[in-house]
Amino acid sequence: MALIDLSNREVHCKIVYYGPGRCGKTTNLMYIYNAMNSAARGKMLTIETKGDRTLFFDLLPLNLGKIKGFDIKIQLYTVPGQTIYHATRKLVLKGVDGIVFVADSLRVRRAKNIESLEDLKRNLKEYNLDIKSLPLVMQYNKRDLGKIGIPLLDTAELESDLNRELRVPSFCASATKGYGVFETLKAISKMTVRYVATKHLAGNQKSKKMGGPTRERRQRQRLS
Amino acid sequence: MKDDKGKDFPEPEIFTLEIEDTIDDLFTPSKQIEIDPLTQKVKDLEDESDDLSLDFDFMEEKAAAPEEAVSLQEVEPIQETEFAQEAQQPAEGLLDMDMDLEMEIEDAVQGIDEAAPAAQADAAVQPAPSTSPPASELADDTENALSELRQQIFTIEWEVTSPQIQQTLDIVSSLLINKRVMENTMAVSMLALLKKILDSMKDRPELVPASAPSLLKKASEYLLNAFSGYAAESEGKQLINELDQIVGELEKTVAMQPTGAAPAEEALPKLDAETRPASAEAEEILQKQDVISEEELKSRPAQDILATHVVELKRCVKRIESLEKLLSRTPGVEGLYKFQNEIRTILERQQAELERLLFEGTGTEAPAEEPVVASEKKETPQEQPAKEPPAPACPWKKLLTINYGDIELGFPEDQVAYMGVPPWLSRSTIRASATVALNRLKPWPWSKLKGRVQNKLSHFDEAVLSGMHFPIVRGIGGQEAPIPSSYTLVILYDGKKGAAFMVAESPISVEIPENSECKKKGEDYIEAEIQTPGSRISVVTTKSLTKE
Repeated sequence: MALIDLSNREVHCKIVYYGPGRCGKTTNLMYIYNAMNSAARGKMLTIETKGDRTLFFDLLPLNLGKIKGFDIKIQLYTVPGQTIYHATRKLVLKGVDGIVFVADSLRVRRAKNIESLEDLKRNLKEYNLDIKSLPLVMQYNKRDLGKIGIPLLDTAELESDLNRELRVPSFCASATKGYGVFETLKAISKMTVRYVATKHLAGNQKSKKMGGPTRERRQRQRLS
Repeated sequence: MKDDKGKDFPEPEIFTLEIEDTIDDLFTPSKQIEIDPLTQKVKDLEDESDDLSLDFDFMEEKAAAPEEAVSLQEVEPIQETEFAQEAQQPAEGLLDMDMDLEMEIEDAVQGIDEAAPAAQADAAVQPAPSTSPPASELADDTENALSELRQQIFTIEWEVTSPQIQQTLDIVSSLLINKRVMENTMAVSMLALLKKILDSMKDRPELVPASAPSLLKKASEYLLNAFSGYAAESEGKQLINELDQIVGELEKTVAMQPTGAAPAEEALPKLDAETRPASAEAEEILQKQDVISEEELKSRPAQDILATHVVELKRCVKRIESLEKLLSRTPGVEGLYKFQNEIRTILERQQAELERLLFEGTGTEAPAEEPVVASEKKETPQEQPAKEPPAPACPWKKLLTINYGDIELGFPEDQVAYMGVPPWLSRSTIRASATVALNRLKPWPWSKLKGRVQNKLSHFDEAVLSGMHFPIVRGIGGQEAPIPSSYTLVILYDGKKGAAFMVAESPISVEIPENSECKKKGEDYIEAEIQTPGSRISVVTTKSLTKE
């Protein structure tokens, strides 16, 4: 869940890049980290320890600066894609506000994509989250490999496999070359911020309007 | 961007629109780069950006096989020099994939090319091998297994569970018999050490040092690099040293900890031939022993064979002793010293066992066909009475006796390994436990157990003794006598198994008259009943206590 710190006037949004192993999630983050203006992004981190065990995922904090007095921070995470890292993936998903599902366009990875999406749904369900209610975008990565004769799934197939039910925005990409990387990031960031603002800030405004006495009313009550 | 601090909550719609504008402004690449999928190296492509933008079109994604085969023909000459020229798409694309995936793709590409002209098919098939090293299937298998090992160790680093460790152990075991690995002595040593650490992890994960998982990871990465030709030998040696240290630490810790149900067997480190290095001399001795057992077994009496074994064992022990002395004076080889020390302890124990069989006159009647099995069966003297003419009814000349409820219990003196009142701090713990750790019998943490135990237990080193524990038997002879707070603990141990029980009083030594009658019982932990002129003694032995 997004962290909205009203006392410090900060909004933190968590976006997770999810997908099968070797689909290019980390490459997405690396590309963003290296190509983005350094003023807007923090250091790319690998979270090291939890107890005496190492937890593996990447984290790239992005800072949008102050908007309406609020410091807006977006944290990009990746999960380890291999099936065996189920526990890590689930943990990284905790408190997620937006998801980029990075699908591998290679035809041989078709089943892995579907499996990973199912895994995502399952993991979200365990946190009582519905994939349909969360901001989600699809990224069909490695599109450039089609040029060298490697059989790729065409976008219609990918859409049919992964996006038939969800109907979320999808982007073709090549993370190594940066095509579609920022388009994906922009889309998910906007969706996530909108989601967070609508869900949390609107809720707060409503409670402010509907809620307890204001300072003046409290003072008046005290005087009377 | 406006700073509107006067307002607690901005209007969501306006707020969101403003954020979206900022996202559009900020989330744009400030430079054009490309990431090498193999090395993850970032290349600045600002100069080449125009050319590269032309070679990728999102809309051209349908795999039109013949056209692409033609394009591959064009690419092929570039690929031959790909290692010299960095930014070539085919190499990067293919190197981004798994080995197995590469094979799958290769097959798929071949499938496409079946329909295309022969020349085009050649061109289409060629690029895949050119991007991977021209290695045999064996090499692929090794690297795949090593890659799998690395992944498995990553998992262990995150979460240690028995199935995961077992899977990792399986991979390590398969690698140890891999021909390509066997040619690399450093890899074999490293894998053997990994196996030891994983074995310990499997048995007692809580004892594994915190640094072990990361070291395992380093080792797995080193191995993977070594077989890809990138690893430095010095790094490997250093890793082996570090792994060795971990193994040493683990062995030490395991020896200091109480172990499973079978005390003596499990307290001692396992010394199987697969995991322990054997010196040339030891191998020679083993070979010699093999020769004896095969050729002379049938013709020589079992006693002679046992005597030969005892002599050989003594010889081994002496050699190890001298080596041990040398190691004890050499700093930095504590692990090796401990290793030798453990071997010597085991050998001495075996020697003592064999000597007992030989000189107590219990192993002489072993049948020639199965000398070893027969001699093992004769470990406990109580099985002998029928065969010994001087004492047909009672094999025990002296027993330590106590009153236990309504019955008088007697224990063979040579099996009483410990007898005494436990330190007050441990009394209630022992009383409530199902097992007793010898460690608990120390009055102070720095006290030694060596002087407190007797008979077979006295042969063990302090470290081994500290790790031993014995099941506590309650209710002997069909009754459970009341145990006072300051009870006496008796531990019976026959060199292999042992058990403890609590009694209310200290045992006294009783001589058994020669004409006493001995009736075998074999139930309620009682081995036999001896009828002496004044009393009836129920004999409790290690065997009867540890019998299921």
